[in-house]
Amino acid sequence: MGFIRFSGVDFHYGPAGSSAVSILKGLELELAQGEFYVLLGPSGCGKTTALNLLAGFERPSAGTIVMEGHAIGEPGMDRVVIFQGDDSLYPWLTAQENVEFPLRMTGVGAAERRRRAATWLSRVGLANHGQKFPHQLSGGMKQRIQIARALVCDAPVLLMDEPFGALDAQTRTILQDELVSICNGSGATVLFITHDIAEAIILADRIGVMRAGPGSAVKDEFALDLPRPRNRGSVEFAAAYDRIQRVLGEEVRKVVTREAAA
Amino acid sequence: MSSASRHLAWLALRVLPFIGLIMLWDAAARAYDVPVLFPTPFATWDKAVQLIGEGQLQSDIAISLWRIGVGFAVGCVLGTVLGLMMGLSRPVADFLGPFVHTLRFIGPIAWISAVMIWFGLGETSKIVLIVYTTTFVVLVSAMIGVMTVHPNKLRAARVFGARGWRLFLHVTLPATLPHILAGARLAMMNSFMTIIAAEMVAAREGLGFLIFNSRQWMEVDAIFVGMITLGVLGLLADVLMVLLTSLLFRRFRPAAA
Amino acid sequence: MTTASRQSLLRSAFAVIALLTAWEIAGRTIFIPAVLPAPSVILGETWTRTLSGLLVLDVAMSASRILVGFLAGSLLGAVLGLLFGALEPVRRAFEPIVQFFRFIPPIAWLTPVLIWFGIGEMGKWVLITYTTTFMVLLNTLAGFAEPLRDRMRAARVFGAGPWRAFWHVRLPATVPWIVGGMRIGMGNSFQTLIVAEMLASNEGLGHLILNSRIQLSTEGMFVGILGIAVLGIAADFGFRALTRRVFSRHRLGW
Repeated sequence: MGFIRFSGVDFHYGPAGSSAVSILKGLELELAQGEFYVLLGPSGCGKTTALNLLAGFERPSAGTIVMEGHAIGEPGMDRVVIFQGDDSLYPWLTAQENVEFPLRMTGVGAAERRRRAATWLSRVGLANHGQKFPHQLSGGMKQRIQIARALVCDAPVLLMDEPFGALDAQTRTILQDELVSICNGSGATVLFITHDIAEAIILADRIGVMRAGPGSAVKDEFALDLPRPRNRGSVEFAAAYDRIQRVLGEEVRKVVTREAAA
Repeated sequence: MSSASRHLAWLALRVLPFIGLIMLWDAAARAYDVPVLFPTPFATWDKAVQLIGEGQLQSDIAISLWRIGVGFAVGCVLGTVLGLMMGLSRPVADFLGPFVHTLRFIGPIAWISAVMIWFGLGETSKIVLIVYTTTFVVLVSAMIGVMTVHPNKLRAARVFGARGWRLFLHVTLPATLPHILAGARLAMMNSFMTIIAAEMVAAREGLGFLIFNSRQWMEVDAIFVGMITLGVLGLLADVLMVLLTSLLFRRFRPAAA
Repeated sequence: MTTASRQSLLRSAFAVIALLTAWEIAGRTIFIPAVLPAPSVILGETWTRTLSGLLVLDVAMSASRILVGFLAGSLLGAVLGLLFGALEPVRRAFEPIVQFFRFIPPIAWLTPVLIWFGIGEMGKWVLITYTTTFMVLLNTLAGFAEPLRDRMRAARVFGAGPWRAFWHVRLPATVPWIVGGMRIGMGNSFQTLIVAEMLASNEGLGHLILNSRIQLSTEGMFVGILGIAVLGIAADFGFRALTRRVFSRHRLGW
């Protein structure tokens, strides 16, 4: 029995019946405590929906999602989300104040708040940028604020929805390496969404590849027990890439063929 | 280029067009057959000096600004409250929607006669008209502001445990403020237009009265003084508004209108 | 229709009926018609005026004034806006002046327009043109803030000169802004109409509103107010439908 478990989860928009748009169908997923699980899939396959369900933003149409024996309810501090893009940052707050925000919501005192936020800001390399507003920072720096804001919560579960998707390749690589060193030994369970195979291999303990939608679910799982930090140039990396690409490539081709036919 | 000469060039670029305009005005006025009906810039200036000497222009400005100030303040509060309520609650939006969307097409000037009948010829009527024009612009901006708050901003706050009142105070309101401020700026401009209309119909003082009363005596120079004063005041109010916004609400940069 | 949108419609309908009922009762019991005529009285007045042909004349005159002023203002605003946008020195020289006149509402021009253009139709057209021109001009100019550097460069790469690049890249990109400004300008035209008909006029919806006050015919005033609202809503609807069709390739946002 896993720490987090999706059993027979369906999700569709609209009332049940022929007009409903099915996103997920019979999704089974199990995450062990402290595991870094990456969900990989073609665009539009419902990866983000799976994350939204675990976060509590959406409710499953059928099936159950259980964490530590309890059904998932409203969003809460035990499952902190790092969103794609910078829309979740508050532009009227400085970087420091953005990181303090969760602590403020939980009623942590001002001095304690400042201290903890400053610690995490320097851990993500923004020690000198705390007083700047998000619009004064680069895309990579904004995602660092989001990471600091999530980690300051000390949450047992972290949900990351393509957090580096909008960044350039070099920045993405650097942030991936930093995430590995931050998460190593933190004990947090992570669900990470991406469509980038290399990113998945660098980060994951286990990778689940999803089918093309509609009515998607996990098609295949890969366990990776390579030591960290992982080398993007190693033979093992290339082998894993090739294995996963075969499975994912088939699903992506389905999407492309369908789009061309439409 | 040195910074002093750059400043000078910038100033020249701003001032020269107005000098050109004044020269054009002068030429046109001199070409017009009846000087009384089209006064030159100099005749207008003399009239302004005379009106200031008599103290009339100052008191007209003061009374008009007071009416705008009161009406604008009340309208901003009313528009913000209603707009936020409509943006936050679907039933409220459904109940008020039909009226807002109809009244939006009826400008304040259409209500002048009705307002005079209901609120009399005193100060209340003028202020009511300013309140009306301000409320709608601010209401629509606030409502759109609430509805366009990015869902991830709200979702993140819900993850951190914010609900109900705290969610509104810490996320929805600050995220909507730029829209409200942009609406208020637009409403300020409308207020200047509305006050003239209000004061033209029934008033004994104010810029609208100055412009309208002078018409009966064909004092076009006084009308020009009133119009230019109005333009300058409106421009100053707008600049002041932008300045105050950037000073007081530095964090909340107004959304593009 | 989904359950939610049907529920919305029901709530809106309920609100409208509730208000009309309350208004009717208040109009019949508390207020005299000169203060607040009941909806049924206003409807009756509308019917009487329609039968006598007076209302038709008012609507026709007002609509024609708006149409002339609106079209002239749109044309002037679009041409000036494109000129300002295309030629940076022209924009720099004239934009401050435009910004200044924006704060002088059409109503302030009433007397000068009366003196210079007389009491005929011309003065009314001029006032409505004035109000429309600013909206279209400023909106067109705002469209030039959209960065098109790469598209313009692409056109140059394919051999277009600056003039053709402007014609084939900048102009199409500005169309939604011009049309958007026209829509706002049309809304303003309906406000300015009342001002324009303050100039000596014997018919028109604005004249009806103003004249009814002098005659203490409050129901006539409401016919005028609602007439302008209905005409405004219809014009906006028609404008959107027409422009959606004509400019189907452009993203107009409605």
